[in-house]
Amino acid sequence: MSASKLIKRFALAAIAGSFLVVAVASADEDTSAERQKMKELGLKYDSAWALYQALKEQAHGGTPLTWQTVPNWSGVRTRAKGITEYDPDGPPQGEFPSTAKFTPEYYAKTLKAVEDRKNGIEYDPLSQCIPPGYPRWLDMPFLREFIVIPEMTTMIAEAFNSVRFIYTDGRGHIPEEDRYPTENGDSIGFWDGQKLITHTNQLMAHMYERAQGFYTEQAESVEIWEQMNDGTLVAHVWVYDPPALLEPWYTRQGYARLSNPDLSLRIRHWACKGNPNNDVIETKEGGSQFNNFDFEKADDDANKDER
Amino acid sequence: MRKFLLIVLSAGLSLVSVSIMAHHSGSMFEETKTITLTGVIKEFQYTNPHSWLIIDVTGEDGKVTAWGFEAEGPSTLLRAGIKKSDFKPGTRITITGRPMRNGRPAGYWVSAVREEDGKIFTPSAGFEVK
Repeated sequence: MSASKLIKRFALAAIAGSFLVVAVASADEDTSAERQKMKELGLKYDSAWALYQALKEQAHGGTPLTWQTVPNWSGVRTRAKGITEYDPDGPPQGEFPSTAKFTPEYYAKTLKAVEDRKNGIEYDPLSQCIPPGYPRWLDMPFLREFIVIPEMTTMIAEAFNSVRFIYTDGRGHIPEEDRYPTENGDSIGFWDGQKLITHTNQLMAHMYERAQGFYTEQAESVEIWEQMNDGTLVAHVWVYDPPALLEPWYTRQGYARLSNPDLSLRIRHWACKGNPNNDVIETKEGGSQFNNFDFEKADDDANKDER
Repeated sequence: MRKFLLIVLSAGLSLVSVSIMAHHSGSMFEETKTITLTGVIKEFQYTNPHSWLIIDVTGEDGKVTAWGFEAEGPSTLLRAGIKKSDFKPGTRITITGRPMRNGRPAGYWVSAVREEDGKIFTPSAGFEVK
């Protein structure tokens, strides 16, 4: 192949690739009416626990699953929309997450993160192996698998080998006096037909995503999980967090089942330090910078003072 | 003609400026500027959390510099049709990426073309839901 043909082909493919990214970001059915209804539902209750109890009462306590009624949530999945935006229906990452109503303190904190990002100043604690935790778990890209048995549902995200356990065997939360903050929290749930309703508490303060807001240890959530006809798992999620949110932040999360005809897609161990060139550290200014590269000669590293 | 195509290439690639990285910020890379280099594969580190494609690039003065281009991990690359065996050491490629702001020999891998068959490898295609 001649050099000019090669470059021409490369150029056309690159342009097509750019439109692909845009198309992926915008492809979704119109769910605005449903989202509004769900948002209003959250506003009726002053805590996640109150919403959870109301949903449980409405479901007459829920219906325990049996091996005959376990839904088939199998398959390798990924986020259906919003690759790294916490709210797939909100503004893209980099813009202020306007679907959340933050308290003044957390509004200012988030606004600063958004402005810093625009100026190239951004650091993510994940770089040094702090797990994403929940609710950030919801917006991790990459692969996922869901395992449902009558007593519990296991939700696996490839990133950071992050696993959530939703107990549906009737147990309650860990007693208040024995609670402490954990990355993914403590989740219990019940089944209303083929819908899984969860409540999560005992969370650790973190960020929803880079420049998309922060949550506190007081955050609690309710989720309603159900599988759509096309196989996509949808989660309606309300996060209540009085120190950071003036009202519950409702989002609609989706996880599409991926085509995997040769079964090559599978979740692999995700070691945070699995590559010698992924050591990203925080700079003096609060930005991100790679530490040493294993392919770089010491005398090529002209900017080491920056780190 | 060649110059024209390179300009078109840069314009197209600048649209692919979204850095989709779950593990760390992409702020160390240029947001819209791209660099295109031709070189020989030294190593393909096909790993989580990120993969790195290391190539030897020979400059006009004959000096060889190792450049690294970062992409997502194996599952996203597989979804983009990029296998570990696609980039064996010694393979000649032309790669375009967003270079580091501080001038170190590294970048964010946008697209690469393998010289022997003209096959194009675009890691961001691995985020397409299909």
